[in-house]
Amino acid sequence: MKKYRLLDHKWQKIGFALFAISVVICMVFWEAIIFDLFPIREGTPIDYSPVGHLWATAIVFLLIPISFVLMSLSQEKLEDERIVETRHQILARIVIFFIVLVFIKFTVNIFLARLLSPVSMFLYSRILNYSTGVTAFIGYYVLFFKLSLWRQNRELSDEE
Amino acid sequence: MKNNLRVERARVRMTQQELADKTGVTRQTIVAIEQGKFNPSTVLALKMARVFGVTIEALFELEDTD
Repeated sequence: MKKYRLLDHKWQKIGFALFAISVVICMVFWEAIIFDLFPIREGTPIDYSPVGHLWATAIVFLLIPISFVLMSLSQEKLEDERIVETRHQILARIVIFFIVLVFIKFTVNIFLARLLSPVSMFLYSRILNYSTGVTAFIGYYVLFFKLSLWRQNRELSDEE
Repeated sequence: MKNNLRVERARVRMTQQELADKTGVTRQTIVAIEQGKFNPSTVLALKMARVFGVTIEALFELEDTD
């Protein structure tokens, strides 16, 4: 039978460990990282350049995509056809969800952006940029796939 | 699709975990098939039929709604 070529399960653990490290860095330097992501002082955006001035932000912005890729491309402990089907279903839903998100982004850009204050516009554009990027796409996939597996395993574990 | 997996398993006194181990899937997948929440591939259905020593038709049957 044709099999998927995914990374070994151990890479999922490595990906999770990298994600945990990024979360710890975020928790320790949360104030600096938030300021780096949304540099606003006294109600005025002070920097429109891409983020990553702070080493902590740079590390988090490097670690999170790597961890998401490792988690999404590595197989489960026992990757059977039910799990493969779940992957397909989740991927299809995420593509639709992402298309809707990008559609909302452009609609709001065209019709609502001019009504917003400069600070709101700045915040809105940054949040939308982060939430519609490739990293976010892989992140949604990992999150929804894991949630779906967890829900299925909970529902299907009672019987014997 | 209806299936007699639970009946066949009871007949040979096999647990879900044992069947899962013999067919190379998780126990949850066996539960999902028994509950009719997941339809196995032809390969998996053939493997199950072989484990029980029966034909595929004895394990699975189409319903009018399929």
